[in-house]
Amino acid sequence: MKLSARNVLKGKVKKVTHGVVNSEITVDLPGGVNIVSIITKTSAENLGLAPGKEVYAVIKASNVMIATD
Amino acid sequence: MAFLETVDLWQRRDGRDLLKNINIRVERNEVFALIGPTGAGKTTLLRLIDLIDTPASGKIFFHGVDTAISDSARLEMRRRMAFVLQKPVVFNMSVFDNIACGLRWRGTGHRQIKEKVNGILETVGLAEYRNRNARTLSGGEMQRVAIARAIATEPEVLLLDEPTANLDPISSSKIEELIRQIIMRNSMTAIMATHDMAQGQRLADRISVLVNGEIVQTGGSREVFTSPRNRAVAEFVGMENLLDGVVISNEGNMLTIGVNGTIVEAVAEYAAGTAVSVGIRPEDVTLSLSKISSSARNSLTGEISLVVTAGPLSRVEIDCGFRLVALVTKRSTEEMGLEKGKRVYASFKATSIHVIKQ
Repeated sequence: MKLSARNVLKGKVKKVTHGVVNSEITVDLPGGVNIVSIITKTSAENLGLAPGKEVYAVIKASNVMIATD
Repeated sequence: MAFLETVDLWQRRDGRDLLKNINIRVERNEVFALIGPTGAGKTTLLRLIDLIDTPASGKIFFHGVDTAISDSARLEMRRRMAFVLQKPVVFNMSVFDNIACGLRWRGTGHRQIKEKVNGILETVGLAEYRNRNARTLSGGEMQRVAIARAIATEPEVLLLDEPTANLDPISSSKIEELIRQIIMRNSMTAIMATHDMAQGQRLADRISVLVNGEIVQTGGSREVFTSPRNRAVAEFVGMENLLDGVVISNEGNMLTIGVNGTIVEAVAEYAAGTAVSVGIRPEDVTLSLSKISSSARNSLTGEISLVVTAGPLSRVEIDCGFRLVALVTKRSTEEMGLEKGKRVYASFKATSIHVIKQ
């Protein structure tokens, strides 16, 4: 998979919560870190997202915020 | 009760409406920006708020008090405001005297003036120029003098009309930084007019967009940028991918929109048949060399027509039935060999699209 997004993180779906239009997907990354994604319900269904499925979380570098304490 | 409020304010000149039904509320310690193209009515509105001009109709309240009740009340309120103009006004006298003149008009004592002006000279970084004639200074330095004079009287409201428009980029960013410091340190209420959207975002808490004498949108500075209410605002805030289309279907607010023969999917509440503009932010577009299986509802293919790299980022234009601009890192451009003529897939999420009714 060659794509322009700088961050492609492999993980496993931990939780899927469907809303009316959107679905919230929690992905479990190695090291126990969780990342949450909001995608359309249609996409969640098309990709067959269910707990345990291996997926990639894709994040563009320009969308990552950095905070300090 | 708002600190400063305008109610149904109109201004006319030569039979033409310069301002139409202006209602703004500014809270104490808030930095409020009026943004719009040249000729939109920003200066006209600031002059009304500063009580220099009288509106054709409507009212201005300061601390909940109608500013039109009497001439003395008007003067009293004017003294609690200061106005910094686009073209700095300096008098043919020393920098010190230029800054001191507002205090002298108010009958402030000699020693107090000296103490105060010296302090302000340090703040604006002009201590060394104390005795120089202000007319011999550069544009940026003159604007510093004008700002110093404005804050010397400790106004409750600072009005700024395009304070950096006449300056070169370096002086402009220095003045902007000075304004930011002054507003923060003195927790001042400020209303500024600017045609520079980015400047408004950097300085203001809230923004009103003024187009042709009318306020078309008011909101948090980020909100106006990400969710422009109409095409005029979207164009003004620089939404680069702004495409006209028609809603083909709406299934539970999941829209399919026809744009120049291409289907775009988005999440919004418009019914089939609605003419819309689709706004896609370049930073939300991801490029790949082959079709990827992802959750992004939109994956369009096309040929790259232009790549412009500036600093760490590249702007990639793709012809996919319409012109789509993507913003990616320079590193991705190099690793993927993105160049003119190359076929790519552009993916963007349905949830990241901003749909505006036409």
